Amino acid sequence: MDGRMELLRQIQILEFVMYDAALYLDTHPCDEAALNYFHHYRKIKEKAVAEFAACYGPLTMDTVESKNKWTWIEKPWPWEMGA
Amino acid sequence: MDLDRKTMAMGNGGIDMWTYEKKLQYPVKIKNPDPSIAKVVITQVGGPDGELAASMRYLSQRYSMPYKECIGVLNDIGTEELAHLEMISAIVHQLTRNMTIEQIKESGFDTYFVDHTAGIYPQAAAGVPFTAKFFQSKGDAITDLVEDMAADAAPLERQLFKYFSF
Repeated sequence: MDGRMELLRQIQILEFVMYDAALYLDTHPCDEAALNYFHHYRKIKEKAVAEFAACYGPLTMDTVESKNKWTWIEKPWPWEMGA
Repeated sequence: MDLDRKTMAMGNGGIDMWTYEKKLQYPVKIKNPDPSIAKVVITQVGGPDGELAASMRYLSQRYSMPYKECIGVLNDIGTEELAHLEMISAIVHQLTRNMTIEQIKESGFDTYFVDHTAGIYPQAAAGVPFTAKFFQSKGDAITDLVEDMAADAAPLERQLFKYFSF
C-alpha cells in the first residue's frame, strides 16, 4: 500500500506541474520554453502512469490491462482513504 | 484508436470525453469524524462560491468566448473545478464517516443529517440547495469575466480554508 501511495503522489505532483503549464500555455501557445517544459514532464508522467497501471491497477479506463476481469471497479476509490 | 491516444494533449488520455482519472487531484486522508467542520465545508461543494458552481460557470461561459486562448482557459479551469469538487466532497465524506449519534446532535449536523444522512448533497452551509442561480452566463466575454472574478477570487474561500487550516 505504501508503494502505491508513493507512486500515486508522484503522479499527482507530475499532473499538477503539467496542468499548471497547460493553463499558462493556453494563453501563451507559442512559448517554446513552456512547451518543452510541458513535454518533459509529460514523458515522465506517462511512464509513471504505465507503471502504476501495471503494479496497482488502472487510473484511467484505457489502461485497464486485465482480460478476464474488469479491474476498473476494484477498491480503493479515490475518496476512500484513511478509513 | 492508437492515433487518438497519441494526439491526446495530456498523454494517457482516455477513450471518451470527459475522462475520469481514478485519483484525487490532491490526497484527502481524514481519520476522525468532525461533523461540525463538515457542515461548514459543504458550502464549498454546493454553495454560491462552491466548486460545482465554479465548474458550471466556466464550462457554460466557454461557448460565447471569442478568443481561442480564453476558451482554452475556461475549458481547462472548468474541468479542474470538477476535480476540486471531488476533493471537497471527499473531505465532507471523510469528516462524516463513522459519526456517533452524539456527535451528530452536538455538532448541529442533525439539520443536514435528517435530510441526507451522511450522503454528499450539494448545498450551501445554511442549507440552500445548489442552484444555477449561483452563477451567470451572459454571452458577453467581459461581463462573464467580471462575474468570474466576483465568484472565484472569493476571499471567503481562502478565509474558510485558513480558518480550518486543512
